[in-house]
Amino acid sequence: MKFISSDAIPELLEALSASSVVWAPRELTGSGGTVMFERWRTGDPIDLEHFSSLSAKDVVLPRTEKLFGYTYAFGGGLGGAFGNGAPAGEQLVIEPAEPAPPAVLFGARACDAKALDVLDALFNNPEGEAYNDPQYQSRRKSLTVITLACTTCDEACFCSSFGNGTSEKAGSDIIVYPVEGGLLAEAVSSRGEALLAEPIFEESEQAPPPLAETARIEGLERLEEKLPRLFDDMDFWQEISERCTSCGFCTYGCPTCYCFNIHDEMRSDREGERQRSWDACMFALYTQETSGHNPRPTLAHRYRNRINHKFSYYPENQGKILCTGCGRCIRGCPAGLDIRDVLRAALEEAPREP
Amino acid sequence: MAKLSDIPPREYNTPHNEYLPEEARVLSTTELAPGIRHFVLEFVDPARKEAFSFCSGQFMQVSLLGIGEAPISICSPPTIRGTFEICVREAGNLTGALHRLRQGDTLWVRGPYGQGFPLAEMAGRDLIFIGGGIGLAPLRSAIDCAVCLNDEFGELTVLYGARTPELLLFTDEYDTWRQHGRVETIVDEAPPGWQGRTGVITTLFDAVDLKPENTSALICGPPVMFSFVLGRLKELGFADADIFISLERHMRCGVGKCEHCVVESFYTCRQGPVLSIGQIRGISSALR
Repeated sequence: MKFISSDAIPELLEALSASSVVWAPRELTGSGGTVMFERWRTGDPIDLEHFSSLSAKDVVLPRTEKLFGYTYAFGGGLGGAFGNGAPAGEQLVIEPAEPAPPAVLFGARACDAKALDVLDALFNNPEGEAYNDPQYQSRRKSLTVITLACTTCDEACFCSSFGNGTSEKAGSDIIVYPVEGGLLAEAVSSRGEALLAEPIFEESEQAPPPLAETARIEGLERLEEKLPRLFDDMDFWQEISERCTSCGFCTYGCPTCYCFNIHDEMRSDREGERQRSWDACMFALYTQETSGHNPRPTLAHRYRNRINHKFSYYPENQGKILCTGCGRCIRGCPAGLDIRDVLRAALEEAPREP
Repeated sequence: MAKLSDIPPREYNTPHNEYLPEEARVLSTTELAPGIRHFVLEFVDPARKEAFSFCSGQFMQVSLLGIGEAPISICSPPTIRGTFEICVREAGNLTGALHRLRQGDTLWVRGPYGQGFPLAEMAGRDLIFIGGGIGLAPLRSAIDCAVCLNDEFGELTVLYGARTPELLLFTDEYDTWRQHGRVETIVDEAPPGWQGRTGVITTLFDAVDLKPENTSALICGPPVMFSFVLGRLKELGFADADIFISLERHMRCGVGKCEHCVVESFYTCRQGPVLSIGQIRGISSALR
């Protein structure tokens, strides 16, 4: 194990930020305690005590990212397409998005880091397979993840339901453990090992502290087979989704929810970008076709898809459950919905008692 | 700043931006029916134009930069090289702007995407095409392919329904198709004087003789059509594995990432849009 004192952490972040974009949890100014992963700059405070409201997924899947930019070179611009004429293509110049710079994610939790490993199955699939996602890959390849092990948790946490819980190492390069006066650091990957060889880290004989044990639901892996049997039980889906307001927080806060929309944004009448932005399968228009037909017409249909995607479809297609038990969807739900109740009810293969 | 011509042509497995479209030029455009235009397109890049190939039933992501992008089926046969055709119904911002394109204008495309109709596996068989509305567009690609490769297939039967007579598409091609089989049309409602049929598409089955054991069915149309048509094909003795249906879903990425088009665990954009009934048996929400 290595050790870094609390006083040396800003120095470490400073050194890392010389060559990398550094992301760290920070309490948003004037937010009354909302912690988010933000771009760290010299002098910024970090918060290693509180759990962040949103996950760290922005680091690999930004809320909005440029797919490419375009410029209408001479006159006309979009006026043509919206007016009587049309944009003449010769007037356009296309500029692909840049490759990602090296980045360090500091202070992710085990559930955040594991989410990267889960997302890798779809977005960072092995070389040679069709349809990689070069922008995700570029970010992921250049990312070093320094994970803060959880010695405390709250009642919404349920990562212990998934494999290693708080001691999960998937997705991390280094695990740091909070101890008196600083952090113990343990390398998980060779990239992590190289970083821990830096002299800012001291040798330590100290043992890591005991980690938190979070709420545990047994048998979640059985849902992949159980959920299809509940598929047509619309009374079940209707009942569990009744209080949902379709606000989409559960998907925005989730470290593994990745669906996105693609849209064009003009910066002027000459220049614009095609962008992708987070979307949410809980939104009514998410599946609505131009004709007005909507294959998921009700909240119950959309809620069913969300649960099935996480615990049945993604495991079927990618071999991994699309949930790491971070509990953000529980903490943030304005209607007080708890995904664990739904999972327990589904495991019993019967709707909850009213 | 790179020019589009500097960007290598799209192919699988190369680390490039999957979302980057390529420029295509409108060679001609005509109004097929009120609100529906037909476009003949070619890639501006000569190498791309030369290399482009696809299979009937596949789609392109078609866009105008600054307005948006949408998946649109190719309606010309893969036997025509160098150009490809699409059929666009005006329904929103993008399709409205596409309708304002004229000969010589350019638009942006990426693809082809998805699984088309497995015509190679249908060699030697009769084919029945069942289309509703603008669903004839992807079928026309397969019909023209079968017409062109005349010796490869048995008899062709086209059953086609639209809301009104003026919304029947590609009417000037039916005579050519009839040289290889039958074309029967029907409309939901018609003005006085209409000589053709009115009613639901399933009544057209009474007008044709089929040999179900040696016939593959290719279907594209609105979801409301599916259950009636599938029920009738079943009565006639068609096997699930011989019925192919092109599904429509709201799509964004076209490459199995964005999740909009998923039907339970499958991606309409990658495993579809064309699937056999055998493949979607048990996926109860696929045909809704």
